[in-house]
Formats: sequence, structure tokens, C-alpha cells
Amino acid sequence: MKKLLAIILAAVMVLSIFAGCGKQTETAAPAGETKAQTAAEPAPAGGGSLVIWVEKSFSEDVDKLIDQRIQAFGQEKGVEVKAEFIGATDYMTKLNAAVEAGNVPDLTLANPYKVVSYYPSNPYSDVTDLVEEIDAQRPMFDALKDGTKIEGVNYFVPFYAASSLLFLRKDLFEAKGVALPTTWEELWDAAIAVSDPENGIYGLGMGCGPTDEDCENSFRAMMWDMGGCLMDKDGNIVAGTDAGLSAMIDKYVELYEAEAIPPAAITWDSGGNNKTYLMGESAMVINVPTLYNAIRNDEQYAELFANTLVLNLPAGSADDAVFGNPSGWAIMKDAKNPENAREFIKYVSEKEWYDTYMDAIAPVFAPVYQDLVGSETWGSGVNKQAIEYVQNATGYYGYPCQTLEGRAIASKNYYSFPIARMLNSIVTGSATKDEAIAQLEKELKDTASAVTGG
Amino acid sequence: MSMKRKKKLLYILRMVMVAVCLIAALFPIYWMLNTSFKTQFEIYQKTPTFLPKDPTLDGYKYLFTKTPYLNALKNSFLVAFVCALVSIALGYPVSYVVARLNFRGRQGVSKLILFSYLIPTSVLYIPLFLFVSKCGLTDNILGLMLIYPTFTLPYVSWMLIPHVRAVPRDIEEAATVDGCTRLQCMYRIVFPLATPGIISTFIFAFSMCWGEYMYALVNISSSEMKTFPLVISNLIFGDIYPWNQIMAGAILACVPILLVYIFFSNLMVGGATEGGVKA
Repeated sequence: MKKLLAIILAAVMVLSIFAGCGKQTETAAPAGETKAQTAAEPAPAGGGSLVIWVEKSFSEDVDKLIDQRIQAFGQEKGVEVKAEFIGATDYMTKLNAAVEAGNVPDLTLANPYKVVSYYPSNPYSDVTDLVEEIDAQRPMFDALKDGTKIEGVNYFVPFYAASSLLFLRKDLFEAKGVALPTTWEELWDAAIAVSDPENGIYGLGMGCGPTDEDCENSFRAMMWDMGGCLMDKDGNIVAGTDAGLSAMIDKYVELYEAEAIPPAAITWDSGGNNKTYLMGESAMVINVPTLYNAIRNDEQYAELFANTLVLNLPAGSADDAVFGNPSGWAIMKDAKNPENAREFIKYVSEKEWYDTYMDAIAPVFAPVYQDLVGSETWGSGVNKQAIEYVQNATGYYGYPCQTLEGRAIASKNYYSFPIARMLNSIVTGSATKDEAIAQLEKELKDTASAVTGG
Repeated sequence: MSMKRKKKLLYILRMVMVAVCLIAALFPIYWMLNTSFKTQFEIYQKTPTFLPKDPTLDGYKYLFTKTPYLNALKNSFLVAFVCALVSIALGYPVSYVVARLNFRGRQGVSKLILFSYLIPTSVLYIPLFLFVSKCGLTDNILGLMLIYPTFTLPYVSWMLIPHVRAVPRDIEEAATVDGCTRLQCMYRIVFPLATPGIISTFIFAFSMCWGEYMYALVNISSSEMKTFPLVISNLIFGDIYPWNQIMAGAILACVPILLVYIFFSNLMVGGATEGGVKA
């Protein structure tokens, strides 16, 4: 027995050494997984290399298309390309380690929040000239070209943007004779009107779980549209005295207590609003169009799909700001192959491929170019709602703060989902409204101290 | 109450306790298994079902056909097995020295081992990534084999100290009288007698490496080098989680751990030293 054990152990160790010493060269990278050009597929000579990190999107199909384009770029331009698709929740962890180690990819997908979260040591290159060049050939939406500038500089080339739309059960609205909401006030009234808690139907699936990122964004849109903010234009923290924030809290608590929001909403994470809608529990939710794809692509949801209406977010009483969620290509300052990275950005911005790509991924992401408004793909239905959202999305973490420092503070603070946690503590009774607001303000000030070193 | 009745009541109480513990331990596994055979539609229904209405192997099929899951299991196994083995090989002499030899600072060394085990991953992952980068072992499971002993080695060393101490000194002294050197005592006398403890420590060290996520995430990029937790994590797209695929991956990941346990449990025989010395 001992001999047998020893032989097995020795064999495993030897095998492991062989296996670990080099990458397998014949393993095809499956769909949706990292795909690297391996030793078995030598790159065409003379083009150098390019390392790309792509944050995984909301859809596997989207990632496959990008992956195919990446591979095509490598083949056409003679560049040895290595791409990795990384989950959204792990992306910053991995990027932070790479930045610290000075072992960064050449090109990454970035957004304004990632850029400012590195304040004051921004690891991304200035690509304003490239944005101008692409924009001159094909104008982008102002909300994306200028709206993503940070102190006048573009740190990424806008590529696409996500929207956040109102999913609505028209059968439940019709049954109660409730009109479709066009303002936030009408939406809240409708939420109460269509609710039937005794039969497990709630008007608005908006959660306040401590990690509910989706609803954190929705709360911010509500707050802005009621004239509220956490920071003013100059970056001063005003959450403690802001009337709009206070009014938003009152409205949410009122809806929760009126049983227009599912009781379990206090436990949700960012998937909670999807789940409540798929379960047929909520008459309205605010979500990215992945939910649309989920009910469209599964025959078992045919009835729910037929009864679903997708609308843009309602208008506010004081502002119409909605949260902008653009993504684009960013070249790292320490990139080893910045020229290849620039070439790749131009390559994926080519009209023919880009339009086909956007057609394929609609409505999960909407395009950044003005000429696609009213086009065959983007001129009607959910896609139209998505592109209109993107066109007008001017909100960001810290909105309406204009200073870089203030936006950095707001971005860092955002990832603790302060508004969702604040509302959670109020509706669960663990804090009064005043205590919860004071706690939110304190956390924001603590973040400010950490960012400024003050 | 008669003695017989009392015994019966105690027996029932014991059985109830066992049943409660078993349910608490096994229900999550049952639920994982149950979910792995459901469709997405059924998973997202308002009323949860305790058995799949329309059982499907879609979750498993996806894992085997669309992801490098099997290769990732192999990678995880190799990394975990080698690291656990190396940790035992290096940790055993450390624990023997701390348990058996008297030297100045022995308590300090003992505490240092414990403290080094307690350093959180979030503190270490960037320095260790830097270290592995300098060694040219990023995106390679050899890099993980270099990193994992930073937490398994202190753990193994710390856990083996009481197992070595449990071996009566008298047996070792008898062996010394018969001509054994210190090294021979260590490996020919104490090691076999501490085998049950060594095996159980090996299994725990293996488990620690088996499911490790953070270091693997930071160090591994390419598909063919990924360990299974990374592949499971990659199943998530957006905010509508494919729970059937995730649970299928989790269930399959339990199998090697069970096999390791079954394989080595034969060696975990207690009482080897009982009767070895006079009381």
C-alpha cells in the first residue's frame, strides 16, 4: 500500500511539473473564455504584440463578437494579440494588482469611474486626439464625447454605453386601469395603484439591499430628478442638508410601507430586481436591457415577454439627469505597445464592423454615434429607448460636482452603495432618517479625507 | 422516570441532534444538486421547488462543452496536491522542531508561525503578484504553486505541532537507545505514528488550495491555466446569474475533495501509540 501510494504521489508530482512548466498549445479556448494566441498559432511576423483586458459584458454573445474582432486584428495586422475577458466584480482587483506591479495590459475597457477612482495617480493615457480624430469622421453624442472628459481630457475612446430602462407589466396596468407613467410622481402613484400584496403583486421592484448596485443607480436618478445631490458643483458635501435627498428618502419609505415594494427588497443584491420581475412579482422594475434579452430569448417567458413594455425613465420635477454608463478603450500609460493599441481602437471603430456589431448586441448596449439615431436597428422599440437614454445620459457619480477631486471622492464612495444602505437602515428600523443621513454624510467625508489625505 | 425510559429518551435526543446537524450540513449540498438540474425558468419561479419539475442536464452540458472546466479541475487538483504535499514535507520538520526541541525563542517561533498564517489575503496579493512577476511565473500554475505555500505552510506547521507532541517521548527515547539518530527518529518513529494527524492536515491544506480564488484571479489570465473557481466565476454574465451552471460546477468541484478524503481516510487509523509505553 505504501509503495503504491508513493508511486502515485511521485507520478502526480512529475506530471504536475510537466503540466505546469508550459502552457498547453492545443487547447482551444472555449466560447466566452479567455482566448490567447498560443505557441501553436504563431503570429504573423513584424507586428509586435498587444495585450487587451476586456471587462466581461452583460452578454456572452457580445464578448464572442469582440473576441472574434480581436483575433481578426491580430491576423490582419500581424500582431500577436492576447486578450482576457474578466468579470466585472473582479476587474478592478486584477487591474489594481497589475498597476501596482507595473505589469499592465496595453489596452483595457474603461469608464469615467474607473479613471477617477485612481485619482491622483491616473494610470491611463490621454487619448483626446484619437477621440477627436474618430469624432471628426463620425460624430459621437455630446454626452459621450464631452461628457466623459475629465478636466477636459478623454482618457478612453467611447465605444458603447449601457442604458437603464423601465420594464413594465402592461397586463397588470390594464387590469387596474392605470395609465403609463411619464413622470416620477406618476410612477410612484402607479406603483401603489397596481400593487396587490395579498396576491403577491407589488408595484415597484426597487430594492435597498446593502449591496444592491442596480437600485443604488436608480435611487441616484430619483434623487437628481427631485433636485437632490450628495455633493454640489464645487464638490462640497451637502448630503446632510439636501432637500431632494430627503424627499427621495420619504418617497421610498412611503412606497415600502404602502407595500408597493416587495418586503424582501431589503435583502436584494443587484440581481434582485431581475428576479422579482422574472418571478412575476413586480409590475415595474428599472434595469439594463439584459432583462429584455432574458425574457425574449427563453420560450418559457413568452407570456411575460408579450406583457412587457419597455420605456425610458420618467421625467423629473427638477432635473432629467439619468445615470450615464459608457465604456470605451483606454490605453495604459505603461503600455508596452501603445501604437498597436491605437490601431486596434481605430480597427474596432470602423463603421461597417461597428454597426454590424451594435446590431448584434442591441439593446444591451447602445452605440455612441449620432448617425445611428433613427436607423433601422435603433429607430424603434426597445433599441430606440436605449439609444435615447444613452444620448441624454449626463449623470455620473458625484453629479453635479465638476471638480476632479470631488468626482474621485464620489466614485470611491459609490462602491459602498451608500444610498441603498441608508434606505435599508431606515426601512428596517435600524436607524432613524436623521441618523441614516448623518451616517451617509460621515462616510462621504471619511472617503474625502482618505482621497485628499486630509 | 425509569432508567430504561431515560435511556430511550436520551437516545431519541441524540438522534434528533444528529438529524439536525445532518440537515444543516447536507441541505445546502442537496439544494446545489437540486438547482443544478433545474432550468433557469424554474430557478426564477416565485415558489421554490424541492425537486426539479423538468430535470435537465443543460448546466452540466454547458460546463463540459462551452468552458474549459475539466482542464481547470485538473489544474486545481495539481496545484492543490503539490502544494499540500510540499507543505507537509516542509512543515513537518518545522513542527517537529517546535514540538520536540528546546531552544531559546521556541514560543516566539511557534507564535510567528501562527501570525504568518493569519495575514489576510487582501494584504498579500499585490506583493505576491509582484514576486511571481519577477520570477516570470505569472499566468502559470507554477506561480500558484509558489504562492499557496505562503498560507498552507504556516497552517500545516501549526496544525502538526500537537500531533507530533501526542507521540510519547518514551517511544522516541527507546528508539534512540536502539541507535536511531534524531533524523531517523523524526521520520521513522514519529512520522508514522503521527500519520492520522498528517493525513487530516494534508486534506485541509489540499482543500485550502483547491477552492482558492483571489491569488488565482490576480495571477492567471489564460484559459488553459485557469483553476476551477475562475471558470465558475466566468459563468456569470451581467446580473442574471445562470445558477444551474454555477451549481453544476460547484457540485462537480466537490467530487475530487471527496475522493481525496476517501483515498486517504484508510490511512487515518487512530490509537497507534496506545499501549506503546507503560502508563
